[in-house]
Amino acid sequence: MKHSELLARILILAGILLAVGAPLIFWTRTPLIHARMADTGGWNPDVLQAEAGKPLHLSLTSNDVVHGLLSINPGPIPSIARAGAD
Amino acid sequence: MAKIELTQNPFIKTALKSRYPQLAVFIVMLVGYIFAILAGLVGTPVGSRNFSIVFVWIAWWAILILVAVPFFGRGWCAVCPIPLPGEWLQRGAILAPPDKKPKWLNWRWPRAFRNIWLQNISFLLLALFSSVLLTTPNITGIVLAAMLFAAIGLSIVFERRSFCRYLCPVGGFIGLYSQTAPLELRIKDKKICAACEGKPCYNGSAGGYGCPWDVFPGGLTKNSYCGLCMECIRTCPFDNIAVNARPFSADLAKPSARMDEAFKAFIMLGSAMIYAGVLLGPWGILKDAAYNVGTSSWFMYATAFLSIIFLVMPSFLALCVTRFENLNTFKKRFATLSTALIPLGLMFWVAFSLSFVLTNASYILASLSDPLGLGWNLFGTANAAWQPMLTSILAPGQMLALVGGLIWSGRTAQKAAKEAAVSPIPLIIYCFIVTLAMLWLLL
Repeated sequence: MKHSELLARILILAGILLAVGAPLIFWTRTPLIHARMADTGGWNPDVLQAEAGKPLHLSLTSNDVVHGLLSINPGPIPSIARAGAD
Repeated sequence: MAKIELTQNPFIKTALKSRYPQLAVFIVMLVGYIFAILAGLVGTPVGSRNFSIVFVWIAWWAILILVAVPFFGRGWCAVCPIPLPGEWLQRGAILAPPDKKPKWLNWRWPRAFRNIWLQNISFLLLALFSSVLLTTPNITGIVLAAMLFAAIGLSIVFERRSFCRYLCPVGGFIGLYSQTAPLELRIKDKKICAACEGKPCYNGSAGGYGCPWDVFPGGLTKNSYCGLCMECIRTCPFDNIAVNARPFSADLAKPSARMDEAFKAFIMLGSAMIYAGVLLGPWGILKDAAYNVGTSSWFMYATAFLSIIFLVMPSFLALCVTRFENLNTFKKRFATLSTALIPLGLMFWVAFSLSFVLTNASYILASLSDPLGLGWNLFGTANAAWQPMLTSILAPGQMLALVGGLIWSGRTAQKAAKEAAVSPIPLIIYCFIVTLAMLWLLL
């Protein structure tokens, strides 16, 4: 086998191992908790400050109707934490 | 504008003839493709945070439809990773000269399926499930993996790149629209090909493999089925293959009269309009119907989708065929006239894609830093806020694309109508009406 063919095979095998192995290794090491819409960056702004005890009117919208999932698959609306509560 | 032979430039010629630059791109593409499969399967289920959705359906799609297809035709096919593992298995090598003895079954593709009907069906299958496919990472991962394994399976059973030529849902429309591209691969002198013994460009030689796309370059008259793999440049003993820059839509001057290609034009034009309504429009009921696969509303959506493409749009085009002698000539005229829908469809896709690509491109930065959505921040951009880009030019850009497409299709309609020996006016009115509909849907 020519050196160039051997080198090409080694490079491709290494690339495939990297592409398969890296995600699998990191996936098993990182527990994924999916909060449907409330993942980091899913809300903008992601912090709202309001006075406790008074009604808060929220208007939810999304301009990203293609790849953001709000308009297509909304799922449950996340609960709203009260001031002082965890 | 006359053709300009790009391969006269020694740098371009050497780069195309050598296998190494292409191999380097292949490796990057294959690694990226496999990573996209894995990201889809094990990454976050949030579409806008997952590499498979963001890099396949936003980044890749933008490059494909806004740059690669309009300017390079089948340029994407030249570097596509999907057929590579199967092709390397089929050849038993990556770079080494071809072995005369086939490694696997090496069957010819069945004659009945030597057309693009299967590609039409495979595209429609994906199109009907597109709302789920475009937003759900694990479905994207499964579909990408299925295409890779289908290509491997077909390479083991059939000769050459049967998957690319006859089954790939993407290759079908790239082939259709590649006819409009200002780039072509053609022979320089027909007499040299006629006198050439052994036809190494088709059968292979020590210099390279026989055409993977099952095309004899000496007979090439349009871009549709040439995958720009450059094998013929490597095998031609007479240096008779050229890559040329040429005017846009040069192939459309000689309209095709094939029904499979005509219906590909309807499928693409109709899909762009339906997607504009479903994905970008304000109708929640349509989005729900498209997303809830298997429900009665989805079946109604699928029926409407197929009816628009296979009944409504072709029926109105049939009215443009103002002469009827017999069914054969009618079908030929119908297919010839459908050529006018090719530039129109391409520009519809450009206008539609501009909308969601500019709206969603900022996800690319976040996904680059955290491709699996596992909380990484590789390049410090994981928390980049979603921000639509170039919104001020979106509507004018879409308008320009649609009006430009209408003018382009009008010119094509004149040539097609002349070929079909009918008046171009009904066809131009047809193009005008569908453009108005698309303008209404998008703007």
